[in-house]
Amino acid sequence: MLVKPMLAVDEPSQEADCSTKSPLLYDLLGAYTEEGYYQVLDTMPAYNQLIESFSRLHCKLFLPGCHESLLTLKMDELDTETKLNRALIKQIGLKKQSKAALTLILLWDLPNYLEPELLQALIQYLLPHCKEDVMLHAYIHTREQMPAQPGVYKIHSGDKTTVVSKEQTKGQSCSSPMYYQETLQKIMSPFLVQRSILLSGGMQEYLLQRR
Amino acid sequence: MIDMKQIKENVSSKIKTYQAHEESEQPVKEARPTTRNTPVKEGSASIGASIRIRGDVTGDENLIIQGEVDGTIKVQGHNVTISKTGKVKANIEANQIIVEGKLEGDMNGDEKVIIRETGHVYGNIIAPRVTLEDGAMFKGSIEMEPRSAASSQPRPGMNKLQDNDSAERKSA
Repeated sequence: MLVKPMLAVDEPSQEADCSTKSPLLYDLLGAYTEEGYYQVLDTMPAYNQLIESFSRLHCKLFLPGCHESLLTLKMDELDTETKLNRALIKQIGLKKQSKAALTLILLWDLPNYLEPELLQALIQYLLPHCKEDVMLHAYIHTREQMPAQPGVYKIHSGDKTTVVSKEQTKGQSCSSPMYYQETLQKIMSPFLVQRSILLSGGMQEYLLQRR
Repeated sequence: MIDMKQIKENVSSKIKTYQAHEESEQPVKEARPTTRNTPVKEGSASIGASIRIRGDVTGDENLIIQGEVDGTIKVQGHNVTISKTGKVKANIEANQIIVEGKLEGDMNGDEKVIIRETGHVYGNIIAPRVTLEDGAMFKGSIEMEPRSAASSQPRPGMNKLQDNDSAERKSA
């Protein structure tokens, strides 16, 4: 097991105020065994806790650090498939000839901030680099307003799996797309929701699987 | 092919000349076989801050890079340190690799790879242990194996994986 059991979902966090728990991600990572081989894409900038968390496993971590820079892409400027593909390769770094076979994609709260068309294009771009049963993890805001900028999330290994959000823009907010499950599945097709849970912070945690 | 012994001799002679020059001008407090940032350890070769190398660097001793290298670096069984002033565009194979400067290339570390807070790395890493200090910048992939398995047996397919990754970046 990667991590030890954690506290109940709705129990107040023992971490800093900005921390949030991620039970679905915890369950998923907890099921990873030392015998397996895992390829994980995390859009967050590289950080040591993630590397430490996965160091007990035979794994390959793809860390393009594109979480914020993906937001600079505008679909009206990427009006051809070639332009779009080039832009995504520049961001993610996976080329056609890549041997990547992703088992897990961590998008965190990125789907809330990307244009739906761009999110759709991102999913289609990633598909050839994924295993048939690849899992995708995301947070979706369920309230009308959400922070103006995506959060910075970090997986912490140790006594419990905690996903910490920090450097969130305080006091500034914007309208949330408030994706319902059906809409999300439509945009992120062929991924279907496998599990979802409403977190105490008003975010819905989603675990989707390619079908 | 560039031999590190040759580099070391050249660099050592430059350091000696520099020291002799300094000794003639002012009393030296202590012997200083060091360059700008990273001390040159005994048994280590150093590529000084003003030196640029284009080609393959091989050797059987630790290597400290304070200048620029464009090519490949192989010091298997020994350590490579890219100091703060170092700028390297090369694939590196070594026992332990420490990056304090800038690296564009793949790293294959038999023991571990450490990217210090001042380090900037674009490339792929294969190593049983990887440490990324706060403030370090890394973009690429990291391939790790369970520590127990990695220490007890060789890693099959490692070179193949690295070749693939290198080929991908070169074709970019």
